[in-house]
Amino acid sequence: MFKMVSGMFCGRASLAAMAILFSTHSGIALAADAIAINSDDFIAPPEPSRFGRFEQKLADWHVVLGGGAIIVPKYEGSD
Amino acid sequence: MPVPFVSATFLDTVTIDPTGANISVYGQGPFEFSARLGYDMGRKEDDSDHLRGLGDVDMGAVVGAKAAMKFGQAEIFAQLDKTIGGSDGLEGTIGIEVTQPLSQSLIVGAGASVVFADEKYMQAYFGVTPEQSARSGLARYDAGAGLKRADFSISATYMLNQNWMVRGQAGVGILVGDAADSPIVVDKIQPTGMLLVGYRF
Repeated sequence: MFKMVSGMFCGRASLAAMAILFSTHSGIALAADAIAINSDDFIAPPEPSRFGRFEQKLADWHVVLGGGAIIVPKYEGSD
Repeated sequence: MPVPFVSATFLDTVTIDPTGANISVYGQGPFEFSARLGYDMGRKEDDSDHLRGLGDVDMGAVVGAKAAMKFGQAEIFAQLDKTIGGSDGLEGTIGIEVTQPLSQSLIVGAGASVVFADEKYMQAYFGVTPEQSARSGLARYDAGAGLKRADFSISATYMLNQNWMVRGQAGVGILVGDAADSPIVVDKIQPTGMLLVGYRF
């Protein structure tokens, strides 16, 4: 049996593509162990603005927010 | 019901996500070493009728280390994770991941890995003690250390524009060795699937 989980995720900087890792917890088996895809290859850096200093601090952080569905076995070894 | 995820990366060095924190401690050329602090959620016997009588595997903290080396689009890695509390087990993973941009907006990837575990981990998740056997009806089983599973996955990430992306991933895990022979295991083949839509800030 499988469990479908829908919800939100935040990824890593670059473009943290979420990867599934098996966890033995009650069905929700997912992880953000990174298959890191460097979005800098695709996305030009933002232009500086009058909020430059503040934005510079924020630029140290990278966030991807989203949602989706994951299907995994209920436990490691279940059908 | 939504499952919240909180994740952030600081200066491409510290990544905090729902599984814990990863810290890149050394990176030089193709080599990278990182440390990890996370957790193992354990397993509850209420997760499945097949687990009734086995009791719970408690949650534990996980301390790990990972070494990786890049070869062009490929990366090979070795990872070691020690659970403190819960199973008190030790897991090791060796694998390879390949990512290849096919265009400005499409990236495909594939990965393969094998997972080893020590006797504590194997016995906690795949062993059946005499007491558990009496309560569950499953045959007594001693699970020894060794190769636990092999995993294979493919993925595709499509950038809709500068901010939006869609990612799909499919994978299969194959339980092997003492894990595969455990009476707790109903199916040795463990498929997974994922479809995500993301927005990059």
